Amino acid sequence: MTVFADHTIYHAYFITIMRTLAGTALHVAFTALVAYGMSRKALAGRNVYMIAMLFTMFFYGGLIPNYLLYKELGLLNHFLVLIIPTLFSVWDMIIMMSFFRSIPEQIIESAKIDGAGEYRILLQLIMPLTKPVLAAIALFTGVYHWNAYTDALMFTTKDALEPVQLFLMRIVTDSGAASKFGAQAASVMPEEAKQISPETLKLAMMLATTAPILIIYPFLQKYFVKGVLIGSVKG
Amino acid sequence: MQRSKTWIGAATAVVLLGGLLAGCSSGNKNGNNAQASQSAAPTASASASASASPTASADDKSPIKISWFVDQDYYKKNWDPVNNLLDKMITDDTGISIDFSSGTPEKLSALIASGDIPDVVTVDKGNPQRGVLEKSGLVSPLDELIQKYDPSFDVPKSMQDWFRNADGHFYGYASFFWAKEKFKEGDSIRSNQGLYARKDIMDQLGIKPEDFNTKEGMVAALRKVKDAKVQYNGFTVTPAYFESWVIGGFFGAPREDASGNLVDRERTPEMLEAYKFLNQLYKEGLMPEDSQTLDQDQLKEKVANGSVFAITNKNLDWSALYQKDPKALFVHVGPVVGDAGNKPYVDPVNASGWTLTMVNAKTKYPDRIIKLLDYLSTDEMSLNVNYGPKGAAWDFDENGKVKLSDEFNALNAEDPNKAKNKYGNGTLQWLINWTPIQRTAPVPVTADAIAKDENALFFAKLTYDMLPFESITPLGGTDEGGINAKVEENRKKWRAKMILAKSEADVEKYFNDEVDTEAKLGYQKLYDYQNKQFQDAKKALGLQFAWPANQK
Repeated sequence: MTVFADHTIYHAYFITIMRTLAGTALHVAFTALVAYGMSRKALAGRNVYMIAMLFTMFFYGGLIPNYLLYKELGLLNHFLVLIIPTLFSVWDMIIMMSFFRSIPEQIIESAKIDGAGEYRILLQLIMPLTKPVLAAIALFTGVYHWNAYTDALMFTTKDALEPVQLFLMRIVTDSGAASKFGAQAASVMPEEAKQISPETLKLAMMLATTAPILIIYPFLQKYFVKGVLIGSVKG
Repeated sequence: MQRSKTWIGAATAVVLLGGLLAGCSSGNKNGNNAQASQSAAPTASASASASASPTASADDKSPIKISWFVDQDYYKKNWDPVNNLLDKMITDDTGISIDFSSGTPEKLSALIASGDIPDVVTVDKGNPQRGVLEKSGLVSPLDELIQKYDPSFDVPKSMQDWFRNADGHFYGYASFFWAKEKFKEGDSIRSNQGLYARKDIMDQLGIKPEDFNTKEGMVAALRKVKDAKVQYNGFTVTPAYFESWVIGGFFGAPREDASGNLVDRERTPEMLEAYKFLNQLYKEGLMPEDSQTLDQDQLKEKVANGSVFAITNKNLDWSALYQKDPKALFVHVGPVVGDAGNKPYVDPVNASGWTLTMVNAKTKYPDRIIKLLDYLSTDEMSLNVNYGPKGAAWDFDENGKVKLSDEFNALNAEDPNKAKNKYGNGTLQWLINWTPIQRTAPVPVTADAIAKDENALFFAKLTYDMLPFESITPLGGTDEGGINAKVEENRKKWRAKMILAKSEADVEKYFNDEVDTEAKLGYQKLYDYQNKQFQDAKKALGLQFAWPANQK
């Protein structure tokens, strides 16, 4: 109960849920958009884009440049700093791009012949066909957002923006730190002894954070099981 | 058509929600900014006129808000002058509300790089960021601030000297610093090391504390515990969990040689004897293999469950055990002396403090902040931040010892977190001085508190002045710091190897091999650095010899 005693945890859960939902949906949308574009041979300068994106994948700017960038953009201590940096991932884009490429060109040509515009092709033809890969990327991103705490730790200071992982990490390290530095205190304040041991607290925290994922996963599982290319071109 | 409509609808809804939240937080931010700029404007003019005549602003209590960063990422404090009595006391007495933020040292690096550090910064004294802050000019020298705004601020000279830089200034006020010149009669630095054993099991098996004075006696006592297969709480009691460096200290491993050079304890014959002794304990089944792999928290669980007979670490808190079984007490025994007959020693707690609190050079309120530091550093404030405000959470009894109030005890017994939120005990320790707290600690009444007090006083007598030796720890981020980290990591492995070795000859072989591996890691460079630091520290303290056996 100590884990849930502080009412701030409910707000922390709210922040984590919001960032998971918004971040995942936006990430999948943006990445899929780019992946679709990159998968079409007709795109001019495709190789240049590819090389540029690969470069960013191999070289990471570092914490301090990122911090300065967010500061200049006014993102520090703002909810969007938890979402905007994660909107696009080259790795996920490459996965999606390979998947999009496997869809036969004939489907798209037949749609064009029927007079469909690019957006209609994307939303009504390609998206339904690629549900498995979208679900997979959504799951990875969702789990990332659910577990993320370092960006909140580094770029926010307001309590109102604390995700649940950061909040719980503070409780656990506080009790651990208290037992180390409070050893002197323990001899003076025996009440410290009645507090729950750090190990128990760690395990309770693990349960509090994994339980929601365990509940949601069975519902997402069926999207992996559904087959690919339902009702597509035969032969 | 329907399906894509739901997709678009869902996506739009989520994006809108995200934007709504963005609006919420930015609204708050704008609100805060407006408020801050409004309150900053009148107080800036007030303090501007006040700082012109420092003595006149002695009672400047206009409400201001300062930001304070602490580089301990577990720390969280919401300033609440309405409900939290400690915060209310500080705000009433000084007019200052503090907005705490915390993070890792890397976050502090990011703040430094952005050039925008909070008004007050608390940094661990060993972190590289401390050096960066001091040399970068981002923080003001405290001695200058004191001279300018608060000449009555009495910082202990030993603290000033210890943290003084080459430029002659000191930049931070230390927490948990033991200033010997401020000691009153009866104050002493305690130790976290010792030798403690379970009294109830000793009584059960007829073991006496004096048995632990010799190696043979200790082995015989531990053998009794093992052979009797004592059962407690469903566990078979493990005879011992000892740390090699504590045993080496009992055997009198010296830290300084006859010519005044630094000696690395891990390479002395006494330490080899300690490893051989622990190896013997392991071979006889008196100390288990997991002593080399368990961490502090896990050991604490074992001790609290009552399944350990003898330990060397005072920090393994056994209060929970006493709560369940009032007969289970750890009392001090021994200490065990080595074959050479050297006087046993224990390391005291770090005298040179934990964190340094520094003041931003560009803050708008240097005068108010230095006065705040003065206010928080008094002996009475150390008691207040530790227990809660005087009068509400505690008061002095007839003997001048602290007596916690009934309201505090009642609320604490019900829910320690509620008590913390109301009284603020233990929430603002960045300028704390533990000496007055130890001096006025409540007289122990329960058997475990009495035992702990006795244990602490017994081993406090075996401490030596460790201050010159504290200077040898290299600062993080330097070459020597890197070598030190690698050597420490290496030593953990070799320690386990030696204690778990198959024969005494193997222990010696590993002991010598360890020297070779360390030489490859750059040990000589580290030793030269440490010896130089040691000699400089001795000179600064006016000592020729620092090790008690050398001091005639």
